[in-house]
Amino acid sequence: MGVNISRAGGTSPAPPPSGKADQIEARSHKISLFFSILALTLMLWGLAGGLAEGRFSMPGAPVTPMKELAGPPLTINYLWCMSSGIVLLGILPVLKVAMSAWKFVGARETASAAVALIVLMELAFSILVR
Amino acid sequence: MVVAGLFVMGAVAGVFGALMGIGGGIFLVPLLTFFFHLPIRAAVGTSLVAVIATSAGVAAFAPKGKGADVSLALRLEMATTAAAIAGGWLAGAFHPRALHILFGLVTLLTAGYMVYKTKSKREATAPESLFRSDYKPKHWPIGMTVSSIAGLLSGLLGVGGGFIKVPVMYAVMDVPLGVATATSNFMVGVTAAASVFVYYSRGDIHPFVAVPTAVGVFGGAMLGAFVLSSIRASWVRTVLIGLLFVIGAHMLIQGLHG
Repeated sequence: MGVNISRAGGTSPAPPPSGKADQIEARSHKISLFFSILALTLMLWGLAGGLAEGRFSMPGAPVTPMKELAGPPLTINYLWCMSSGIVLLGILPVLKVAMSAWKFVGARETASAAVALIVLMELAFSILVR
Repeated sequence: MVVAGLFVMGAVAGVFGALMGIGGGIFLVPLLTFFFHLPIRAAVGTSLVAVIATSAGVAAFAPKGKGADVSLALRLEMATTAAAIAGGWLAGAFHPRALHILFGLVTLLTAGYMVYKTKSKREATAPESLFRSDYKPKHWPIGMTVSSIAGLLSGLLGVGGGFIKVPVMYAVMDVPLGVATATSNFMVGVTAAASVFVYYSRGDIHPFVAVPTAVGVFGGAMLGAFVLSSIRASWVRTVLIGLLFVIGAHMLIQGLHG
């Protein structure tokens, strides 16, 4: 992911990253990259399909409702693919915060791990309050 | 042709967004409404998807050791996300013209403060480095307070708020400019994620607009992240200050003249 988790975030010098933390960091990077590529592939596949079918219009149909994406798809069409890609992209930052929390726990940086969990709770709250 | 136009616009916004750490939403909303005649809510929804794409593109391809300070990002994000939720609640109570004036004033003040800091830093003999590891963030209370304001504006106006976060981290908290932009890129993704699903469930995101824009932004952001590691701090700073003055003046005029 190209991120540094213990450079200077605290008010006291952070402990050196452990080998376990490095492994988690590498795994987090791979997961982020996988989700990004999957989201882009779905979006591009759907866009190409929609253009090929001559469905393009401005601004065009809105996204497929979330409840239709959550269950097994009745039909996988261009709109379903693009909507799924957008949802995956939207989930990515939440996933990154969760992986940061995991890495902070692995590096035994309890204060930073607690902060990451608070941010996760705030994100969950922001979804629930609407 | 329209798809190509959206892609190119997204790519340009992605490059600048990644370089400046501002996500690109602040360019996209005016461009989508002005050139593509998109309703404001649809433009904001598209912009939020694009901001997340910028964040993802930068994170995926930032060189090791030149990425975000996640610890710093999450501490500031605690205040930003909470304020963004409050901003979302308050959005209906504010008159749009008041929001524009507030937006413009905050941006111009930030630009002015950056000019002041640049003048004082110019007196130093050592050349400024974009990325260094020997820093320790200062003035946490001010950083947290201004991040809250950035979050509040994010919730009110539907932007990532990076245009405030970067100058504050750089000029107030003494974080190197490269680290500040990379950290802001991480933060804007998280902030945008807090609002994107509201726009999604309201049907304010249109895939034929959002997808070419987001793909363009992702590609532009990768290029921006690559370029960021090899350019001078003074170039980034000069463009950022110029951009802040233009955006601030534009928003203020829009607010004063309706």
